[in-house]
Amino acid sequence: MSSVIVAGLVSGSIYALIASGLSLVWGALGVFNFAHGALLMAGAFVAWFVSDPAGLDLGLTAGVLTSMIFMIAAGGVLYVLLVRPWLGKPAAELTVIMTTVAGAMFLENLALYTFGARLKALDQVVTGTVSVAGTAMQAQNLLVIVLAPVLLGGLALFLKLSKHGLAIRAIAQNDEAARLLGIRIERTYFLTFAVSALLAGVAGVMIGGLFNITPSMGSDPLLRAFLVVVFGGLGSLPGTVIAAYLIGLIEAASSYYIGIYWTPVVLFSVLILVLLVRPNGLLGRAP
Amino acid sequence: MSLPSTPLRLAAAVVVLLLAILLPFVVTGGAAKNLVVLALLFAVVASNWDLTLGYAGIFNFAHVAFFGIAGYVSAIATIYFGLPVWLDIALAVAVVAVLAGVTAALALRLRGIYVALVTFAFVQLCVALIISQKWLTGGAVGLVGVPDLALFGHRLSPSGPDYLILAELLLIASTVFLRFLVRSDFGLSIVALRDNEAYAVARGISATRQRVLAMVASSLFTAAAGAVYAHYLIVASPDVFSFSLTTLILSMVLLGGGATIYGPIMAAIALTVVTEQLAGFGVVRFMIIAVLIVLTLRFLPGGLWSLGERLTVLRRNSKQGIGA
Amino acid sequence: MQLEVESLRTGYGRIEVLHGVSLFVNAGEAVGLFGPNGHGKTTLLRAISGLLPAAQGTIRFDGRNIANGSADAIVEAGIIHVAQASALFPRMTVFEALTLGAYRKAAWPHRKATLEKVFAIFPRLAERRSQNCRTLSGGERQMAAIGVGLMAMPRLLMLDEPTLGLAPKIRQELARQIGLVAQTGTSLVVVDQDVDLLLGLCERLYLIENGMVALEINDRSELQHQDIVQRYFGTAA
Ligand SMILES: Nc1ncnc2c1ncn2[C@@H]1O[C@H](COP(=O)(O)OP(=O)(O)O)[C@@H](O)[C@H]1O
Ligand SMILES: [Mg+2]
Repeated sequence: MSSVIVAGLVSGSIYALIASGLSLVWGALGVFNFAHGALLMAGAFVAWFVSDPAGLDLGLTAGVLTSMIFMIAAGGVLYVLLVRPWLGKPAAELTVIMTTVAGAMFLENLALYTFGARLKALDQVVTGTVSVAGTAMQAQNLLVIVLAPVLLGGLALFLKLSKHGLAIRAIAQNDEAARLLGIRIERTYFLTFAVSALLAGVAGVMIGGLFNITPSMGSDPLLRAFLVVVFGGLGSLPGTVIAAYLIGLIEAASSYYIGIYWTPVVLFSVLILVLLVRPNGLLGRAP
Repeated sequence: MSLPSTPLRLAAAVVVLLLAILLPFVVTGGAAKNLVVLALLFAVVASNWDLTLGYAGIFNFAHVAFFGIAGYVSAIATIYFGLPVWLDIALAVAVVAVLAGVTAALALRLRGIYVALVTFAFVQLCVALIISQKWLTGGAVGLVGVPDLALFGHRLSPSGPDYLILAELLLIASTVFLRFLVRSDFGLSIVALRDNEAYAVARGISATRQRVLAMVASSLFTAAAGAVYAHYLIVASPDVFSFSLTTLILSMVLLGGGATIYGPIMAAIALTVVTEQLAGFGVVRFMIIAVLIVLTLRFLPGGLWSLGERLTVLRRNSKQGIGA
Repeated sequence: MQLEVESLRTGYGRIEVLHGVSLFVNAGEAVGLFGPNGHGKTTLLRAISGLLPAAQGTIRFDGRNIANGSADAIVEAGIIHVAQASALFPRMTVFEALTLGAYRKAAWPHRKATLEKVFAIFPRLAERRSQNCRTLSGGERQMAAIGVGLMAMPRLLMLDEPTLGLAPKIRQELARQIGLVAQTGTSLVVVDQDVDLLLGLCERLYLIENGMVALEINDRSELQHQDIVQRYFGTAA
């Protein structure tokens, strides 16, 4: 029972980090980044390459820091190359799906080309097991469970209190009024992508420490994040986070009690049920 | 859309038909023939996807799954239930059509991007089910032993030209069907819904019904192609549900040009050949294709087909002396 | 002259809406614009604030041509445009929207002090500070929109139909509050259908008709309300 909760919270944390980045971009720009999973993968590979003895061997701290800086730049570059040229054009929504799908294809094959298909693992930030309230768990799991809410809280504060966080929300809600306040739309879009990529990078490093690093490691979490944003309603951060933890827990419970192969069926049934009742997601707004 | 004038179109049709007749005689090498069969089948899948994605503007990302599911229906029907060949293809088309209708009815309650997300999730559900129900589907290995098709006691042989001819016939039938559809009132109504839903609905077009019909129509030849594919490869494999196949076929639709039917067909053939030519580059070829997709979307948003159209218009204008 | 618009022509796509508008605003002055609906008042403000490119003509602010400048550069220069019927930021609290109003570099460090001044003019905003903009009444939303504009510490504040659709009582309250803003020394451009209100607030008035300045009224006593209405709207109010 308690191991189910631990597993659910770990997945929920990771999904929340991934999905909140997707949701943020959707809210501000009205486009969906299908390369988000590939970004996550790239973040994990950079951290691995910098830290691992088979790479630069500079230690985990350097690896994680480099990866975070890399992610900020990667998010920005992705925006400039794959999103900005189509914003405001007819069918931007569909075209950006395509360009980011192509971007994902490029990044995954680049990783495959550069690093090969052999499984890699990131060192764990913390090792060993700890016991919380009578439940033994890997220290790394505990770290994920604690760190994710801290980061998501930080994100919420950034969006509520900081000048540029408020600007991201402003362009999502009324971009003309935002421009009339002097908000630089371009720069704010760039920033949105950078923040979103940074969150994906953190998720990538977490996954890399718990499981394996492979060129396709981003696709499964991305698909779960799709479910999360549909559940939670795109563009609503609280909805996204709640849905992420719900899905993580449902998944863990159904894997444990019903069987791992039935989990997608359970998730999909819940999804259909939610959408039949609330077509804009659990906490979503009508568009 | 400006199509070439009638005599030109007639000429083009004759040329294409001649090529189709010649193709089985020209392409005899095993590898080359295999490539052409795949290209033709993928052309069916891509051009049918164009009906929902290009004409109807529905972000249906379960299209390639229809192709895959049809293969499994064929395989299960023939291997476990001994259904005669051809009948299993009809069954696959029927099952997939119903499935497409149900998927559409559910997914089309949603809008735009949500349709993409839910249909993506649907594909994952299919994969998970297929991999988990090993007793029925063969799991990750796939279901091996789909019998060869046979006609009047003659077994279609993978080494002869048989499957190539079958794939050609399928593509021709599918293309005639699609062109007929998109030029019919039905075709105009789904385009009207795509471009201005409120207006179209006000004119008495039922949004949900037309879109569900479009999804079902797009699934018919896709399913037939999927069943033939399984017969041809003797196996129904979960690989067809992979993200990379969806990406590949999506690139065909896009590179060729959405809402044209012919564009995706051309691109399917071109891309299959190019991918093969680039095989020596290993994974780098996918990076090249990715770059090509982005460049096309950037500088030729109408796809390769629009290039041909532009040329035709230019030439016609200059002939009539109105080319500036 | 703080703002000087000269022979400005612009429009939407191929349709020209402004056919050569010239007007000016002196520093610290309040100027009113009025005229029939759909004759280009909003379009003029959009061109000044950089939302709309100018096809021809110049817009000078402090002597510098800002025509075709970017919206953010124009805000940084000190011109703030409060849009007609702005929904503001529906899912932000009044406090957040006001804070964001100080986005302009020159205003950001002073946002706490400015907020006090805004609350002094619009005490209702202080009461509503933690309420979402979406839930505000029409009058409150207009106050919030002006308050957000003031947070940028504008040198020139342009208000587009601030009293549109408001009940007479709230309209009066708002007029008084705009008067308070005028007293702070901020230059004002106010667009309104209510000529009486403009006559009470502004030193000078322009009548905008068919995308041109049809009349400039420099002296309030020069023309009375009735005359204007009769001459240019054809009916008595
Ligand atoms: N976004 C737009 N696109 C095309 N035409 C517009 C747009 N906005 C306004 N117009 C047209 O420009 C003209 C002037 O409008 P506007 O400046 O809003 O007038 P006013 O503010 O004086 O009522 C009107 O004829 C209007 O139809
Ligand atoms: Mg107006």
